[in-house]
This record gives sequence, structure tokens and C-alpha cells, in this order.
Amino acid sequence: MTRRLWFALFAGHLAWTAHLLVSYLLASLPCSASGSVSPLPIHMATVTALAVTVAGIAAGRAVAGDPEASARPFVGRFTITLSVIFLFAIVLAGGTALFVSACA
Amino acid sequence: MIRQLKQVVRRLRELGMLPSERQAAKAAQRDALERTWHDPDGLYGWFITVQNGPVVNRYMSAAFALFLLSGIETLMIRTQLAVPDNRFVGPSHYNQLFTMHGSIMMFLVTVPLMEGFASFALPVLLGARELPFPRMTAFGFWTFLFGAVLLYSSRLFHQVPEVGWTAYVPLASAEYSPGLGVDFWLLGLSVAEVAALGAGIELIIATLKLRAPGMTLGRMPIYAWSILVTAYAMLFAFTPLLVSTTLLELDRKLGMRFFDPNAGGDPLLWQHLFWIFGHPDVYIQFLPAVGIVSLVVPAFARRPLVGHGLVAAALAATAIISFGLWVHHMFTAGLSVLGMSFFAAASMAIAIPAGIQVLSWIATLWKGRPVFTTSLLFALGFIVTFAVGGVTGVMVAAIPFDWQVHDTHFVVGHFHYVLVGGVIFPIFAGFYYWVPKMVGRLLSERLGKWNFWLMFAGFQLAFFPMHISGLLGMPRRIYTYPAGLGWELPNLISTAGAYTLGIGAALFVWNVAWSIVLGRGARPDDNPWGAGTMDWATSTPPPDEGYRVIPVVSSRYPLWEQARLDAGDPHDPQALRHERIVRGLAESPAGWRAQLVTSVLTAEPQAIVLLSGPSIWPLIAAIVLTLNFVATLFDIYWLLALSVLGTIGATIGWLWPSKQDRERRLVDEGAGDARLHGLPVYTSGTSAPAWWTMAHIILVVAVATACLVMSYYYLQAGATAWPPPGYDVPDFVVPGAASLLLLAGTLAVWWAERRVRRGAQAQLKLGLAVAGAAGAAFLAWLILEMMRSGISASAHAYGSAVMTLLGYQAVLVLAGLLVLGVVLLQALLGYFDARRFLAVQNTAMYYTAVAVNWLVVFGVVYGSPYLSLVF
Ligand code: HEM
Ligand SMILES: [Cu+2]
Repeated sequence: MTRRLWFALFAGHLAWTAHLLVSYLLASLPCSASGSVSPLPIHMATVTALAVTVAGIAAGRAVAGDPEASARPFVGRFTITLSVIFLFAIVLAGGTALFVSACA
Repeated sequence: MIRQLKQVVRRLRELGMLPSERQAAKAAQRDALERTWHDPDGLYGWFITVQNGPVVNRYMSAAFALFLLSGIETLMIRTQLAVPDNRFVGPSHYNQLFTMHGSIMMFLVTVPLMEGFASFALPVLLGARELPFPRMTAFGFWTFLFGAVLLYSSRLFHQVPEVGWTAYVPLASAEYSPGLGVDFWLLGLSVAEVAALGAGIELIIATLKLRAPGMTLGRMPIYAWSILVTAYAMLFAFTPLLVSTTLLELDRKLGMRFFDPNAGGDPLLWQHLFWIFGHPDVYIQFLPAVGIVSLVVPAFARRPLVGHGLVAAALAATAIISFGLWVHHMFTAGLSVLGMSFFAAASMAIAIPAGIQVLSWIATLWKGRPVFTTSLLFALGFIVTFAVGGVTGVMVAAIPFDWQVHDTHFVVGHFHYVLVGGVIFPIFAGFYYWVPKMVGRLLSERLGKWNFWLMFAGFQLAFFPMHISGLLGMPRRIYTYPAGLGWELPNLISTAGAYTLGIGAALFVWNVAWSIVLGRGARPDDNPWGAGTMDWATSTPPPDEGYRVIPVVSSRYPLWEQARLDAGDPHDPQALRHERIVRGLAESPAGWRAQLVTSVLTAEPQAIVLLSGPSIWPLIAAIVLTLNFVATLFDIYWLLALSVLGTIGATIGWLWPSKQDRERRLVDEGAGDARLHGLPVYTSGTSAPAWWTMAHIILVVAVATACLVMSYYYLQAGATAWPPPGYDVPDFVVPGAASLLLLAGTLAVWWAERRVRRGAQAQLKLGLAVAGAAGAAFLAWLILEMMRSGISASAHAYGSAVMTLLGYQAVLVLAGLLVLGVVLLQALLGYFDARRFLAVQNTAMYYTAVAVNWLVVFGVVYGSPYLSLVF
């Protein structure tokens, strides 16, 4: 298996997992005395995770287009579908930080 | 009457459920290949058989018996709740009933039934002759059986657990649950979980490495995808469960403090660990159901599944996302709202892949010409019921709604829609679909229709009203309720429904007795449903050798789309080679159980390996393993010592290579260069199933370490001072130096592996011996360190965490030393040479993993106290 295939397979998965855990940790940090905490780090985490997932999709397309091995088109499409689902999941999770305040 | 009884006994013998005497005439007709694959008959043969056919029959019968037992418990529960102020059972007995019901169903019914199906169906579906480790299959059955017996024997001792299937602390702690009830629960489950982990690894390797030539990942049936994904989920979920049950047992037996808030512990740690297992566990039950339905729907709709690739990806996504939901079981535990909302989002996101699956089935049915057999009816009942469970699931994923209905019967209604609708109905679909192939009799369709409609209607009657009583505020896990709260009618209907459901299930039992045991069911031909997948390619029931001629696959539905199974796609340049290999394998080797191994992505033939044959070791290993737990349960230390030794001995006996294994290249058909049909018969690295086993064992170890490390940091994060006042910050210089020992050992063992590839015997032995010596020195130091450090494991959670991590490392090292010792012995006996060094390679991998594990443990134990100084 090539490195690109591994990346296509795991980019979305790991981005989503890391995003979930990191945002959860950031949201659990104590609120400041004024009762507010900046949501910015969480948004940054979301953007990063989305970027990684999109890169994963690009890698998946490259794998699918690889003319060499017969199994590649399927595997490429498989990883793309996976990444798209994770893309949705990251948007959903990251989106909540737009509406819910960390110090509610 | 007597005649009928004899007939029943004969049928049960045929099914492998009872020992049978040798039928000489039949045996004489077998040719060499069949004889090789046939396990001995007779009583002893019954105990040593490893053939998936008979083992699966026993396995599933035992699991189904437990389903009925647990079903009786539910009827008692429902009888008690039928009317207000009922005194049918008392509060304590009620607690026992729902605890045993929940635990048995979740741990010992659905997962084993699904594993049973998989062990039967995967080999035929993939074009393999057997599962990769037949002894593991047998071991899985025995451990499962003993685990179940252990759990149920709590009744004999009047020590039945009463803590629910979730065993929350502090309720489950020694203080609030004295006696042995919880220990029975923890240890009984652990036995079963060990078996589940083994089964998981075996199923993964079957799907990755034993597929017929030409069955690329893209041609792999959805059922195999579902099992592959489930098996990975099992490794990642059952390991945390083993860790959490071990920690609780340590708290209870040795007075450790992981969950004791008065000494630095935290009860919420249990909830996290339990639900990291518990939520994925639901999907571990559900995903194989998706697989079954994805076979049944196309078979009866008479067309390929719509969106095959999408469904495969959706399965993987479901499994992965299911690990990010656990916090939704803790919405009422007082966590941060924003933090919880991420998990609420994930809980809703999982509806996306689930939606893909449902749409695919509907589209397949829409475009096909469905034949409404009982099997398809159960599949349809599943789709409808699961959809409702999905909707109520999204409802409780909304945090404010969950605050209202948490711990009410609304939740009981919800999860039964998912568990009965999403798991039990598909299991029945699987029964009606596969049983004809498994035992050679069709089940009665007429009884089947009654069976389905009674279960389906009974189910809706039983569980829909629970949503209403739940919304009206009826808590779960209460043994009775007063009149006048509006709960009477829903409860009465619910109980009537449960009995209807029970009658439906009883009809199934009758159907099995009538059609199979009494032999009134019609004999099916090889493909009674006209299905397109290879689970219908063999004769009925599948012969011992599975496939004499392994199929060459060039499509997703070979029985529909390929004219011949032994001929590949003419456009495929490899097809001729594949045909030559499978035809060759049909002739030779005939003297040992040979299985073709293929590559992961493209299923290109890589090697021919030997599968193990019948053996008493799996049974012995299961017995001694269970004895470990029994001895722990009753604090019998001499028995514990004996059973630990016994386990070691049994493992060695089991894995010791047979003469056949060692010499097969010499004995067989003049294959002087250890190749047959152009393929090697001794392998290493990624073409060897055992290499994959080791890789996955290491994965399990890594997951366990991760759980322990996370527990450590969880406790540290919650502490005001870490280490607690009165403890020294540990010194890391000497431990750091000790790490060098493991490092040196790692280098030595890899050097040995490199050398034996060149055939250098002396250097092999030297390398192994050096690695062993280094490991032993390290272990000695570690044990001294644990004794000398003066940290008490039971005074504070800090000590519990440190000692558990170090003790865990010690156990890993000890296991490594044992393996090393055995391999060294085999090296001295001259078992290895330039081609045969797989065991050496595996040992080197494990040794490395243990060394890396130590670096992690070292960093955590000796490094993290400094974190508290920084923050
Ligand atoms: C076949 C018919 C079944 C009936 C009539 C039934 C009935 C019930 C009832 C009434 C309860 C709630 C007890 C209470 O909280 O007071 C319950 C709990 C439970 N059931 Fe079932 N059940 C059935 C099947 C299943 C199946 C197939 C599974 C799992 C695969 C299952 C898993 C559970 C679990 C996990 C609990 C929670 C136990 C606890 O609170 O610790 N049930 N069941
Ligand atoms: Cu859940």
C-alpha cells in the first residue's frame, strides 16, 4: 500500500477524532472570571480538521485515478466516501460552537 | 416413541451436537483430501473437533439457549410490571432480573450469535476452506460456554449481581455491593471477552487474507465488510471493557482507589471507560445485522445491492463514529454543555451513514422483484423498527430532551427498538436464510410467517407503550409503581405484547424442532433461494474441506454473474495463473489442511499455509483460563498459581508446531524448494496469517495501554496535587537507564531474526539468549522497583494508577520472556532455517512492542508528575 492510500484512508478519520477530542478539551477549560472564553481556538481546530479531510479527499481522487492496479478505483472511491461523511460530521460538531457558548 | 427418540438422537449427531460413532462405510468412501479435513468421530472426537461446522452449531445453540433463558427473565420483568403495586417478585429479585437480562443479552447472546453466523458464513462466502485459526474457533466456543456458566452459577451461590448491566460505581464498589455478585459479573464477562477478542482477530484475518483469488476489495460482499468492520470495533471496544472491569476488580479485591473520590479516584472514570466500550458495543451488534440484511435483501429482491461501495464506506464510517458518541450516555453527569454538544453532534452525524444503508436497501427492493419469504419479512421488520429506533435515538441525542427522559422507560423503549429491531430481527432473518445451508433442512415457511408476525406485532405492542409511560415519567429499573399516575394502561399493553413476542419466539423453537430435529423440513438443493453470493456455492451442508476447488472470483455475485467458479475473467491477465493454482490445490497437497493466502487489496495468491487440525488444547486452555477467574473470584491462591501455570502450559502445547507443520515441505509431493503450484508453503511477513495475528495482538496491547494512560491523566487532571501530598516526585534516572536493557534486547532479537534468514543457527540462538537475558534483568529490576518505591496501591488513586501501569508492564515483559524461551527451545531443536523463521519474526515484533510500551509507561509514570509542576 502506498503512503497516499494510507493518507486517503485515515485523514478524515483522524481529523474527526482529533477534532472531537481537542474541542472537548478546549470546551472543558475553566471559564475566565468575566464568564467568557474565546471560541476562537475551537474554530481554528475545526478549520484545520476540515482542511485535512479535504486533503484526504484529494488523495483519494488520486488513488482512484491510479491506472496501475485493478483494485484502486474502488478503494479510492471508498476513501472519498468515508472522508465526505467525516466532513459532514466535523461541520456538524464545529458548527455547534457557533451557537453554544463555552460558559453557558 | 422410542423410535422417534432414536431418530432425534441421530439427527443431533448428524448436526455435530452429540458425539457420534465412526461410520466405517462412509469413511471408506472418502478420498485423501476429505480424510485429511475430517475430524475424528466418536466421543473424544467431539471434544477435539475444530471444524467450523459442528463448532458453530454448538456455539449458536448455546447462545440461543441463553436468549431463551434471558427471554424468560424478561417475561418475569414484564409480569411484575403488568399492574401497579405488584408483588410477583421483590425489589432485590427484580434488580437481579434486569441485571442478568441486560448483561446476558448484551454480552452472551447477540455478539456470540453474530460471531457464530460469521464463523459459518465467512469461509464459504469468501471462498476459503476454513477460518484461519480453527483452534481459535473451538477455544472461542469453550470459553464462551464457561463464561456463561460462571455468570449463571452466581445463582447457585445466591450471589446474583444487582447493579444493572452498566455496573456503575459507587453502587458496584465493595462498599455498596459486598458479596460476590459483582465479581461474578466482572469475571464471567472477562472470560467471554477474551474469547471475543480472539474471535475478532480471527475474523479480521479471514477477510483480509483468505479471500479467493480475484476477490478484490471491491468484489468483497457487504457481509464480509460488515464483519471486518465489526471485528475491528470489537478490538477497540472490548479492550477498554477488559481494562475497566479489571480496574473495578482491583478496587474491589485489592482495595485500590481508582473510583473512590475520597482518595483521589473518580466514579466518572468508570462511566467514561464503560461507555467507550458500551456505545460501540451497540454497533458491534448492529453492523453484522447490516451485513445479513445486505445479503438477504439482494437475494430475495433478485438483483445486486444498490450502492454497494457507498454501503461499504458507510459501514466503516458508522463503526468509527460510534466511538465518538459515548458521552451521550453522560448528558446528566454534569459535564460542560459545549463539550457535550460536540458529542450530541456526533450522535446525529451517525444518522448519515445509517441513512445510506437504509436507502440502499429500499432502492434495491424498489428496483427488484422481491419474494416475501420469512427471511425477507424479518429483514423488512428490521428496517421499519430500526428506523423508529433511529428517530427516538436522534431525539435523545438532543441534550435538553435527554434531561427529561434520561433513566425513564422512554430510553428502554428506544434501545429495544434498536436492539430487538436492529439486531434480533436480522438474526432471525439470518436463521431462516442460512439454517438450510448449515444443517441441510429448510425451516417451515408457514410456521415462519406466524413466527414473524407474532414477534413483530408483539414487539411493537411491548415497546411502543414504553415511550408513553416514559414520557409520563416512569423511571426504569423500578420494581413497581403506584396506581393513578397514568402508567397502568401502557404497562399492561406492554406486558401483553411481551407475551405475544414470547409466543412468536416459541414458534421458532417449534419450527426448528419440527423441521430439523424431527426432520420434517424439506431438503434444500444447494441454492434454494437462488442467491448470487458464494455462501450458496458449496454442497449442503458445506463439506469439511469447504471448497475442494477454491473459486476464482471475477464479480460481486459469482453465482449470478459467472458461468463457472473455477474459471476466472478471460480479460484478467492473472486468471490463467489463478485457475492453475486452484486446480492444483484440488489435487495436492492432500495430506495436510492447505489454505490459499491472498493479498489484502487485490486478492493475488501469495502462499499456501497449513491450517491446524483437531486438538484437545483449546478445551484445556479454556478450562485453565476459566480456573484463573474462578480462583480469583473465591480467593483460592493455590488454585490461582496452578491455573496460571496451566494457562502457560496450555498455550505452549497449543502453539507447539506439529511434525506435519515442521516438515510439510519435506513430506509432500517432492516440493523440494518448499513451493507448491508456484507458491511458498512457509511464509513470513505480511503474507503469513500468523504475522497479522501478532500485529493485531500488538494493536490490542496498544489500546489497553491507551486506556490505562488516559485513566492516569484523567485522575491527574482532576487532582489538586499530583502526586498527592506526602509522596515524592519519582526519580527518573535509574528507570531511564533500565530502559536501555529493553532496547538492547530489541536489537538482539532483530539481529537474531536477520541472521536466521541467512541460515545462521548459532547467531540465532545467541541473539535470542541475549534478548532473554536483557528482558529478565529488566523484569527483575522492575519488580524490585515496585517493591522498593514505597508507593501503596491502596492508599490513593495515584498509587493505584502507578502500580497498575508498572504491573501491567511487568506482565507484558513476562509474557515476552515466556515466548522467547519457547522460541529459543525450538531454535535449539533446529526448527528454524532460512525459510522457516516466522515464530522468530513474531517474537521480535512482540519484543519491540513491549519495549515501546515501556517507553510510554516510563514517560507517564516518571514524567507526568512534572506536568503538575509546570501547570
Ligand atoms: C425479547 C424481548 C425483550 C423484552 C420483553 C425485554 C424487556 C426489558 C425490560 C422491560 C427492561 C427494563 C427493565 C427495567 O429497567 O426496569 C429491559 C432492560 C434491558 N434490556 Fe431488554 N427485553 C427484551 C429483549 C432484549 C434484547 C434482545 C436486548 C439486547 C440485545 C435487551 C437488552 C436490555 C438491556 C441492556 C436492558 C437494561 C438493563 C439494565 O437496566 O441494566 N433486551 N428489557
Ligand atoms: Cu450510545
